Amino acid sequence: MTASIIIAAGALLILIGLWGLLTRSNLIKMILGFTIMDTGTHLLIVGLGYRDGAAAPIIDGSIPATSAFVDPVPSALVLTAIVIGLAVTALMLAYAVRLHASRGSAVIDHFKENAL
Amino acid sequence: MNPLLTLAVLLGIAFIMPLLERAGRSLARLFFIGALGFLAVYSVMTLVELAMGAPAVEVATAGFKPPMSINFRIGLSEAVVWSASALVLLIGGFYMTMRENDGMYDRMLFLILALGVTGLILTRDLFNVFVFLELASLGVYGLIGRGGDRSLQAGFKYMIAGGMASVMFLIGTVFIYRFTGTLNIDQMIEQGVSGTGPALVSALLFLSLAFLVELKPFPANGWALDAYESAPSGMGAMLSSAQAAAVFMAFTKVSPLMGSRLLSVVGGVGMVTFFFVNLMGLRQKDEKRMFGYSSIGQVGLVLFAWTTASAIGLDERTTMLIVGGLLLTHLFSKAGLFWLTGALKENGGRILPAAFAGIFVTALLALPPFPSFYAKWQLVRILVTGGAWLPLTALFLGSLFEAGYLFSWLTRRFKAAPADGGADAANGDSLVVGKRLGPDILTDAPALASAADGSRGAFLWGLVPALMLAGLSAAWSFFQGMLTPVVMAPFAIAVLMLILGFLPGRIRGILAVAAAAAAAWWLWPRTDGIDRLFGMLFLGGGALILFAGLYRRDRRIGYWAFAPMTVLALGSLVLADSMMSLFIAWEVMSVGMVLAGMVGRRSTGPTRIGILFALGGGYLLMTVLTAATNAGPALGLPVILILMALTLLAKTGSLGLHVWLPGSYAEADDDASALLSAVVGKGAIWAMMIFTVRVIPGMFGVADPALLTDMLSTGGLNVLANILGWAGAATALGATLVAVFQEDIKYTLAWSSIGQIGYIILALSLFNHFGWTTAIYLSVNHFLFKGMLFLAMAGVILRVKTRLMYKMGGLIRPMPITFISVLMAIIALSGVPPLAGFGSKWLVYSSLIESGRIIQAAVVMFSSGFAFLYLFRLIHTIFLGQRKDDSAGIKEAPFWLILPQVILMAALMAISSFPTIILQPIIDAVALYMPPSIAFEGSTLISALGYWDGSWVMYVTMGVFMLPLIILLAGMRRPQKVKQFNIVFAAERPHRPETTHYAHNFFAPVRKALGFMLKPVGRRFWEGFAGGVEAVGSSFRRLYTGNGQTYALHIVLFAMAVALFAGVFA
Repeated sequence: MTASIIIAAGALLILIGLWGLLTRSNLIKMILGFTIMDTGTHLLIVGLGYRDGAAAPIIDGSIPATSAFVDPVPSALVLTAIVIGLAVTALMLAYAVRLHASRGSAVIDHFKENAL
Repeated sequence: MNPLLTLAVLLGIAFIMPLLERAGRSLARLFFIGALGFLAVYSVMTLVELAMGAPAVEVATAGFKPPMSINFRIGLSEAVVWSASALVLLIGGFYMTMRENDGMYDRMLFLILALGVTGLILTRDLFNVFVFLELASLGVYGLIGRGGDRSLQAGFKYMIAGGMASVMFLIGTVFIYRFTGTLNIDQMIEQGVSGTGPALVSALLFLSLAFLVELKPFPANGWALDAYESAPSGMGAMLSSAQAAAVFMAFTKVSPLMGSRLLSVVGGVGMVTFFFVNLMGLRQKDEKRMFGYSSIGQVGLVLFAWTTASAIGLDERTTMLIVGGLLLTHLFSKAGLFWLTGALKENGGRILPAAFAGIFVTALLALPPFPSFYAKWQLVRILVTGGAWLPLTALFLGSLFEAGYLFSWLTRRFKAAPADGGADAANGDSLVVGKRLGPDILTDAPALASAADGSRGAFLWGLVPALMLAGLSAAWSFFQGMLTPVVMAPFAIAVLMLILGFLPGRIRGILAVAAAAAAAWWLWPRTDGIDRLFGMLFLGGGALILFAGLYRRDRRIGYWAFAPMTVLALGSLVLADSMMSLFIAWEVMSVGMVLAGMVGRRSTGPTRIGILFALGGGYLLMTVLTAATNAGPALGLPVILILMALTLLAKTGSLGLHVWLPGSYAEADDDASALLSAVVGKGAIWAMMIFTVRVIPGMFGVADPALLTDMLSTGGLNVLANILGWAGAATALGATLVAVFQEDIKYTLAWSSIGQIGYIILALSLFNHFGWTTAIYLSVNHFLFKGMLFLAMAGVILRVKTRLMYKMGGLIRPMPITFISVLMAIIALSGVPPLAGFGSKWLVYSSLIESGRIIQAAVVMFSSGFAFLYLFRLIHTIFLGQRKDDSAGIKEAPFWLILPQVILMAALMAISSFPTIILQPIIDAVALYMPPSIAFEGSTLISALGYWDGSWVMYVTMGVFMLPLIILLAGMRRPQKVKQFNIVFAAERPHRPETTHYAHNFFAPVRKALGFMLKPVGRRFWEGFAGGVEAVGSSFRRLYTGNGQTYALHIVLFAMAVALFAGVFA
């Protein structure tokens, strides 16, 4: 049940982020859309590894070795994904700042000199 | 050594770059290049080890065995792509620091890109692929923006697209993990995940979409084109080569997971991309964006080739031959093009950069001997034998589009800007020789040396990729068994002559003549029958015409490389012993023909059209030749015959397919025209004969050479032969009509060549002994008289400095030998006794009538009478009448031009007086393939309809000519020499030659009567066709609005379309 909620929330966030990316013309808002989409993906990853009622995958004496664990791999993956997402977002923001500095505008429609 | 060390070195040096920078820029640079150099050396050493037979390198990480840990594997294919990418990265690193950005951040980003590329190629873990993909992308994002304001915009759009791709990748990866319980690609393949349940299909779809977006599919690739356009050239080189190759390699690892349906959709996207981006590239003027189109197309083609090979379960070696051939050729040639053009700031002709750019363009167009050629050949074979006509058509059309824009670009870029001749061209007087538009690239070397200041040494950026391509070409030729002297001789002579380009033109010319003559000497004992006859015509005749080229003193770097190449390719054609070697020789001959005539000339239009027709004809021929399989051809006999006929009609410039020929022949160098018309044009005649008696029967496993010719001459395929005959007759008539109204002497002769080849095709279409004897005899005659005419005109043009006939006149006195040469040639051409033309006309009419083709005989008889109009004009306008004021004090043509003409005249006299010396070998040669129907009795040739004795014709005609001449000479009393203006009309003495020598618009009354037949229907059709294609391409380009958000929407729509085709919603 919890897993389903997490996955559904993740999917919803991805769609919201995509919507933002496709409809907001301000560079910063587009980047926000992208981060929302990214966060949704992260939730999705974590949700897919979650097992209802299972223990955290930390093996020590307090938990019997036979009990079910949450799959640790997605949690590990999501850490990497978050770091990479952070780097990309930072770079995007840097570009947005530079673009704004060069044109005095942060509207994507104003940056289409390369057409055709 | 552990390959992980390369990653550690790249990452480590990227990390300490700020420290190094502080210690000194040159130290930082040293470490930067050192890291890339280490990568290159390490990867190449790994490749060498694997190539020597070492097992694939397996590396596990973190002390665990896979699948518990991430593992790397370096097999042969990984090693090939890795080392190629590493080499490109190394040169790219040099390029960036030396020519573009030399900052600390640039070097760091570049190292990160190299790290990502290496990881993508080596890793076997799906999530690790994601990590390296993002690393490579971060490097790319950062570096794209380093080219100024516009590149910042492009970088942002690129990031949005890349971000969407990475989200799709993550979703796909994590779902696949959910279903398989592993991230190890090998384990996934072992477990076999493909095709179970819609959720898994969706997961695989997301993964494929991520790869597709990274590979920039049509139409969701506007952001990539913007990046190509505005990023620095060095970055464009990396984007199209190393990065694309690495992403593609990663895709090949996961592609076994995908079901056949998904894989075929991906391949379809590749082919659609190849077709459409090349279509859109047609009108692209911006250089870097055009390379972008080409790069995206090439990657699409690689993707298509890979999925096709996977779909039919092709063995690893052939797959590598195809996919590796395409990928590596693209890698080096595109990177080379980006570097070369980035380093060359201004346009204009410079020899070495032009040569390298030419190499890269021909490699991209998959011409032999580049790996891409062998790859394309094998790919076409798969498509033809599999009956995949739609992809095949898209492949050929896309390639033609690409050829169209790349060749236009090449000529545009490396032709110096119009210097002083621009105005001449505008007012229609551009035909004046000597006032060319700017210097010729490959002929006026000294003039160009000074223009190269700003870009000195730019060629060095083309040198390494060109050398790599040369090595790869040798390797691929070796794998395909084509590294033989016969196949390689044309390439060898071209390369040798280009390297010897510093020598004076005449020395290289003598070498070229010697090469052709030696080849003829070598070929004689190794051939028989038709092969030997044509072999001698090609090589011996080629040597003779090449000799005439010595009349020019300039260096002619292009001509002395490509003319002998073309001639030797004709020799290779005759000696070809496999379908592939036959095609290679054919392709080299066709393209060499255009290059030999056109390289360095002012007219780019004919070059482009000539190349396109050469390539297009080549594709048809490739279809025919690759259809051969052990179990018989994959095509029906009529289809094979029609495709073959179309190829050969295009090559001979038959009506409708002729548009490339007049310009190519006429605008070529004056001696090159002789070579093309007299010698090279006969290649298609040989091919048409050998195809019907040897190649096509061979495809069907039939040993009897006469079987197919029987079917064509009298059997069920007679209709096809008849249509071919009509094509020949119509060509003969139409081209002759056009020739009559030309003012430019070279166009007259070019159209005349088309017409004469029409006769040959007509005779050939009889497909019996009589017809073929006639066809070969006509070919020999045409070689003799067209060689004489073009060489004579080369002399006239050299002296009079114009090609317009009405500006000539009265040249009989200063140029008597040239006059005799032209006189004999036109007697031979027109078919008037006593010269050989009479015999050939007799043969044409007799053979046609014997086969019942009365109407065709009538058509060519009419056109042959018409031909006399332009022939008469050659004598009247050029040699008779009044000498023009401009041509005072001119001399006979130089020795180099006269000697070959004298030899040709002697040969013509010999075969006219004693036709047996040439006709007997021809009759015997043709009799090898089909039963003879004509024979000599003494000097009399006897056919079913009558007889002809060439020697007696000669004796009688000479007697009739000499007797009155002697009587007249004997009876001549007190002859008086007449000065030029010693004539009076209406009591007025003319002072200008024009008033006494009627020459302009000579056949105005005929034009009035027949002008309606002269509408340039063919040209208009092709122009309209080309214009339409370009317009369609342009309209597709409107997709690319430049708006980053629209591009994002394109990606979403693209994803939905792919999902639809992949059957996710089904």
